[in-house]
Amino acid sequence: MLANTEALFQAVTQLSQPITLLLLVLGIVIGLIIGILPGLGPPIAIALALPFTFYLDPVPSIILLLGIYSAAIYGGSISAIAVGIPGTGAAIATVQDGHKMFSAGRGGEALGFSLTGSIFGGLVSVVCLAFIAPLLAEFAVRFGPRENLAISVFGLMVVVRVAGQSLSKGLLMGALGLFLTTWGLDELNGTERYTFGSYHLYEGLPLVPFLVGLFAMSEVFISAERAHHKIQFNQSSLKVKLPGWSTLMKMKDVLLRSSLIGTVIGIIPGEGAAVGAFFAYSEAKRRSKKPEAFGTGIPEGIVAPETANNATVGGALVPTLTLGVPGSPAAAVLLGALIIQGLSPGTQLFVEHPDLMYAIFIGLFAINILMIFIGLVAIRFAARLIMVPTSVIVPTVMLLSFVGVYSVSNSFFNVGVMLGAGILGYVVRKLGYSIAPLSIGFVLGPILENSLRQSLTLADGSVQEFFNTPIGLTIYAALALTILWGPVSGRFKRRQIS
Amino acid sequence: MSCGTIPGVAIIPVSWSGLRTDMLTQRLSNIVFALVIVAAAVWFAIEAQGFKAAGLLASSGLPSKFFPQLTLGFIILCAIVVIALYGTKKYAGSDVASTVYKNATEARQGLAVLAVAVASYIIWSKFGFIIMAVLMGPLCLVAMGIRSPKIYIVVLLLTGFVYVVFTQLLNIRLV
Amino acid sequence: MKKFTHIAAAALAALGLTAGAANADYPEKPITVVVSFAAGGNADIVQRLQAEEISNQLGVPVNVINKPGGAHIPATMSVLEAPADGYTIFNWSPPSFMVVPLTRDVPYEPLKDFVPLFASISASNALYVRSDSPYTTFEEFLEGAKENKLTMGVNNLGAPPNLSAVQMANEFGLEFKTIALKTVPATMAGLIGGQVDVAVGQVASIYAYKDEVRPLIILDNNRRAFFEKDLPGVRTVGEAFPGKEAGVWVHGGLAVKAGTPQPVIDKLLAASEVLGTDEFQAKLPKSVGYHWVHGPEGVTSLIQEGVDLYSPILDGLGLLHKK
Repeated sequence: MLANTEALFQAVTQLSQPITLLLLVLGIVIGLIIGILPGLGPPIAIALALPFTFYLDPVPSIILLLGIYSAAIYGGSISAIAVGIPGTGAAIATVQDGHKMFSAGRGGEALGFSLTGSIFGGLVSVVCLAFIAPLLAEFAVRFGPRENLAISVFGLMVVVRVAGQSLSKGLLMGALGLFLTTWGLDELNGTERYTFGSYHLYEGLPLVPFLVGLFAMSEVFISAERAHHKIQFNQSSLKVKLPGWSTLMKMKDVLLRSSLIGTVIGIIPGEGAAVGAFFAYSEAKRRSKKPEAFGTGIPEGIVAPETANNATVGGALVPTLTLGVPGSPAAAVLLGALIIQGLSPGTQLFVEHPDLMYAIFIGLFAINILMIFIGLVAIRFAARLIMVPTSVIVPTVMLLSFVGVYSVSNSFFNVGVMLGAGILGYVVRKLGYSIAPLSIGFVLGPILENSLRQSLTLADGSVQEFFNTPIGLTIYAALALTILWGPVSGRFKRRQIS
Repeated sequence: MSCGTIPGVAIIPVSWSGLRTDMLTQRLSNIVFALVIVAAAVWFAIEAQGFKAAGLLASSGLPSKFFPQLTLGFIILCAIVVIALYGTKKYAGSDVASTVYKNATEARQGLAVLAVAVASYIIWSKFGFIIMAVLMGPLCLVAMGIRSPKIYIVVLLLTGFVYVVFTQLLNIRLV
Repeated sequence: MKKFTHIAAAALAALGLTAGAANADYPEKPITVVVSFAAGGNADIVQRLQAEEISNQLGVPVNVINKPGGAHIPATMSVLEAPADGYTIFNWSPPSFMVVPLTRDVPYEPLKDFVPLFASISASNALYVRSDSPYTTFEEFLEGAKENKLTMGVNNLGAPPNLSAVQMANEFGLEFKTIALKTVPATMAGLIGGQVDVAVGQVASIYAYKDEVRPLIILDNNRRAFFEKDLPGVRTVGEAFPGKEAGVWVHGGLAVKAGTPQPVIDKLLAASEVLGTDEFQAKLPKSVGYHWVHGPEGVTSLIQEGVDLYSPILDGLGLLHKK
C-alpha cells in the first residue's frame, strides 16, 4: 500500500460525513436482522439495499453495503447459537458447539465468544486486505480447476473430522451430500441428471433451502418432541459475558489461525464463508489436545468458525476489488453496486481511485469496531430467548423458515425442497447420524466434481499435466502431513516412552 | 415406558400396526434405514446409466454419470459397514440397545408437528399464504398438545409480526 | 364507502375476477422482474437500473428477483406460471430466448409464449491473450494454435462466447481444450492468472484489465458503433478475413407473458420509453453495450435475426435441436 496522504485525507473526509456515519450504523442493524432470519443471507440483504445506493455517492453506498455484508454474516451465528438454526450457511459450523453451550445454560457466554471471534476475524482480514491486497490478488488468479480440486479434496478431510461418533455413518452422510449435488443439469454438458421430468430441478437442489431444511426444520421436529420439557438454566446465563483477556490469550492460536484460514478461503473465488468456517473448525479440532470435546459445547468450537467466517469478508473483497471476480455471492452483488457507481473493479481500480481504497479499508475497520456495540445489544436479547417456551419457538421458526426460503427467489419449489431436506435431516438425526458432514458434502460437491472434470480436460491424458500445479501440490502435501502427522508423532512418542 | 399404538408412526421405515416405541430400537431402525439407502443407491446408479448428453458441447474428460455413480458406490459401501456394525454384537456404539424415541408422547409430538409442516405446505399451494400462516401456528400447538390460550395468542401475534416484516420491510410478495 | 369499494375492487382484482377494471388501474401493486442471472452481473445491474426508472414512471415498486441456473429454464417458466397481468415481467437474454431453445427441448416457445417489450443490453465478443503472450497479432495466434493445442477460456459452455470460440475453431481449423470459468470477469482473471492461454471475453471487458490483456480480434462479421470506443484499431474477423464467418447475437430486454391485456402492454411500453434516452444511457456503466429497440414488432424481428444467425451455426456443430 503506497502512502498517499492526499487520497487518505479525502477518504477520511468522505467517511466522516454525517450521512455516511448514519448509513454505517443502519447497514449494521439491517444486516444483523436479515442475517438472523433463516434463509435470508448476505447476498439477499445486499441486493435489497442496492436500489438505495443509486442515489448515493460511491463511498456512502459501499459503506452501507459493507456494513450489511459483515453484520449479516455475524447475524447468522446469533440464531445458530440461540435457536440451533444457522441464519446463513456461514453459521452452520457454529451450531455444533454454539447451540450445545446455549442449551447447557451458558448462552450469554456462547454469544460473547461468537461476537469476540467475529470481530477479531473481521479485523485481521481487513488488515490483510489493506496491506497485502495486491499480493493476495496474485494468489487468487492462480486458482483454476486443478487448485480448486486440491482444496476440495482437502475439504473432504473436514467431512472425516466432523463425522461424529461413527466414522462410517459420517462418511455415508458426506457422500450423500456430494451425491445430492449432482441433481439437475450437468453444468459441463447440459445432461439432465435426476430431474424426474421437472424443470424445477434443472438447477438441482437449491443450496439455501436445502440447508435451512436440514438444520432448521429437523431442529423444529426434534424440539417439538420436548415441547413440555422445562429448560434448565440459571439467571447468570442470561447475562452476556465477553471473554476476558486471559481467556483470549489462551485462545490466541485458534483466533489467529482461524482468521488466516478465513481470509485465505475467502480469497479463493467460488469458495465461501461456510467452507472457511468448517475448515477453521476442523483445524482447531485437529490441533486440540482434547479433540473429542468438540461438538459438546466448548468455546474453541464457537470461536474457530466464527472468527473464520467473518474473516472471509475481507478475503472475498480481494478478488472482487482487484480482479472484478467476486469471492462470494454476496461480494458479487457488492461488485454490481460498484459497477453501477461507474467504477470498473479490476486491476485498475485502486490505481485510478486510491481514495476509494482507503475509504473501504478504514470503513471496514470502523464497521467491525461498531459491530461490537450493536452486536452486544442484539445478543442481550438473544440470550433471553432461552426463556421463551419451546411451544412458541416451534411454530414461529417453522413459519420463518417457510417464508425465508420462499423469499430467496419467490419460489414455492424452494419450500418443497426445504421440507424434504427437513424430513431427511430429522430421520437421520433420530438414527444417530450427524448432519454436519451432509451439509459440507452438499457445499463442496459442485466444486469437487467440476474441478475434477475440468482438471482432466486440462491434463488431456497426461498425469504430469494433471499435477502441474505448484499451489495444488502444496495443498496435497499439507493434506498428507495432516493425515500422517497423528500416527507418526504417536509412534515417535511411544518409542520415547519405551 | 409407555406402550400403545402411535398414530402417524408409519413415516418411519419399519411400520406395522401395533408398533410400540420400545420396539423401535436404534439397532433395528438403523439396519432398515441402511438397507433402504442401499436399495435407493442401487436404483440411482442404474438410473445414471441412462444419462444422455444434450449436445456435443465441449467433451469433458469424464461422463456425466461418473461422479454420481462414484458417490453412490461409496454410499453403498458405508451403508454395508453400518449394517455390519449393527449386525454384530461387538459394535461398541452406545446406542445399540436404546430406542429411537424415549416414549410414545415424544414420538407423537415430533411426528405430528412434521405432519403439520407437510399439511402447511399443501395448504399454501392450494389456498394461499394467508390461510396457511393463520393455521400453521395453532395446528403446531395442537400437535404438541399445548392447552394454554396465552401461547396461542402469542404465536398468532408473532405470525402477524413475521408477515409485516417480510411484506412491508423486505417488500416481498407473499401469496 | 368509497374506501370500501376500493378495497373490494382490489380484492376482486387480486382474485382475477375483474380483469377489465384492473387494466385501467394498472399498476396498483408492486411489479416483479425475474432475472435469470445471478445478482451482480451486467444483466442484473442494468435490469436494476431500469427497474428503478420504470418504478419512477409507474409509481409502484419494481422488484428484481434473481433465479439463476438450470439453463435459464426455471426462471423463464416461473414467469409463465404467473398470471398474464403485467405484474411479473421477464428479463430475456440470449440463453433464455435463443441458445437454449435452439439447442434443447424446452417447455416454452419464446416468441409464442412471450410478448417482447424492448431490447437494450448488447455485447460483442473479442479474443484476448495475456499482455506478455508471444502472440501479438491474430495471425501469430493462428500459427501458434495450429502447432499446440491451446487452452481456451470461456464463461459457460453453450453461452455466446463459447459459440464464438467454437465457430472460430471451425472456420480456421483449430482445436482447443475448453475450460468454463462461469463468468466473463472470471474468464479474464483466469487468463491473467495463466489458467488458460486464450480467452473469449466481451469487447468492453478491456476496461477492468487494460494492462494485463491484449485483444487480438473482434469475433464479429461487421463493425458496430461501440467497437471503436472500446477497442480502437482492433479488426473484426469479417474485416481481417473476408469470407470467414463470425456471428454473434447478444441482446437482452424485457418481455411479458403472452395474453397480457393490451392496455397493460401499452402502459409498460410508455413507461420504458425513457430507457432509450441518452440521459438514461449516460447512467450505465461503461462496461455495458446498449442497442435500443423499442416495441414488440422491432424486437421480434431482432430475435428472428438471431435465430437465422445461430440456427445454421448450431446445425453445423451438431447442436441444433430438431423438433
